Amino acid sequence: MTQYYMPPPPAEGMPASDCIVREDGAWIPPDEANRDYADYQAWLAEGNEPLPWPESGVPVPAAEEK
Amino acid sequence: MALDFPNSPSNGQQFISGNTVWQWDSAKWIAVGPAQARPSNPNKLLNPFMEIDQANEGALRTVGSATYLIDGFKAYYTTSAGGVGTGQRSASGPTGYPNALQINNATAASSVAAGDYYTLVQLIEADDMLDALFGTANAQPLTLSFWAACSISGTYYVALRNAANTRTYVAPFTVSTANTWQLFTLTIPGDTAGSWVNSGNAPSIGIWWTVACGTSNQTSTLNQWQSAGSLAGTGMVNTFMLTAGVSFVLGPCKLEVGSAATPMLRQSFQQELARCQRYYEKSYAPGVAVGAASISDGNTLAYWASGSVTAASGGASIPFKATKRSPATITMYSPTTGASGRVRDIQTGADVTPSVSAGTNSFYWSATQTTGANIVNLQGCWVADARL
Repeated sequence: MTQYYMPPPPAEGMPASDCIVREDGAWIPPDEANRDYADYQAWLAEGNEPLPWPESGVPVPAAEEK
Repeated sequence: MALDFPNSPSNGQQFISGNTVWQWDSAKWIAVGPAQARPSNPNKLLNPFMEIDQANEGALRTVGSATYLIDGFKAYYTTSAGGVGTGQRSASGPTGYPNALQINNATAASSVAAGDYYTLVQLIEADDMLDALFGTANAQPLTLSFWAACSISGTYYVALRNAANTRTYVAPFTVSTANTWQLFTLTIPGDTAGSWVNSGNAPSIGIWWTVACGTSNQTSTLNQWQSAGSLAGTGMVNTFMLTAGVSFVLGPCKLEVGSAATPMLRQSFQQELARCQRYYEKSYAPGVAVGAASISDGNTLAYWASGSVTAASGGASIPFKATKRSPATITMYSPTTGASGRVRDIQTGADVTPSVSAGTNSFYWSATQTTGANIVNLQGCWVADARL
């Protein structure tokens, strides 16, 4: 199952991103017309929750899926 | 060369051959003058000549649920009986056309369950269907023309369906000879009923070419609009999904408003690419696969000499070549390793994770060096995805 993460803290001086981060490294903006965001909403509706950004390091991207 | 005049013409009937218009005078065909250029209606379909394949650049893909095989066209392969579908841009279009879109049944399914199907689809954005006026009393007819070939002769189906899957028009088309290109043309009356999205950036209509379909998505109501989401006709023969090594190829196609087919006119590569970039854009040059190590062309750069020995951050705002349909999903790639979700800290020789924010006209990214260096040199390739 696809995993989602909350975004990491931004670089110093930059605003925080409002995107959600998919396990393959895709940054998904919160817009209902974005099909990836629709998939994320469906994933949430199944009772899932995004993981916090791992302090020990970033997730390893899954196999590329374009 | 003999002219192929129509059989049993009516008085006054005209026939165009080459640049000459012929007219039947009840006894013989008479040349009445030069043919005038026929106007061509705009093509509602994106990438109708199957030339643009930004994401895969011709690579074979395994078809799952909503797998984009080329720009504009995606495929669905739904089975729990062991079948495997694949697809890719093909270099064997009908004569005069360089490309087509091919789907294969790489591994045969042992059966086709009620909910299974194998289908190609293009969804069209609502703003592009505004003039069809579907769902109103003024709904306009559409004409769909497409080339197709299949390694198994038989009857297949094309369906026009609204985004909510509550209105559909299912029509059969028969491949009479295996592995032979055929041009199919059908005119569909405008749908005056149902719920249609006629404006905005959401999908309005989908054109579905179906090569296999279980009973759940079959209908006995053909060639007319109905309140259903069906894709194929009752009793569809599903040999395609049950046979390994078979292929279906969709060639150039056109969907237009009007009750007659007009010529398929090819736009320039640059014009069609620009249309496609509303939905998908990459920093890589055309022909370069996403994820390729490509440090020289199109990657974004944050560079300056900091004079600092502490880890510094950098970033950039990247304008898109085309306004996106919606705020785009952004994936960045290391130009050195090709790793997704990364940019490259060139100075320290490591991939780092960027932070990204995305809109419809641009996105910006930033990243922090892994260790301090007196030069900040962060680079990344990217893909922006706003497909339907």
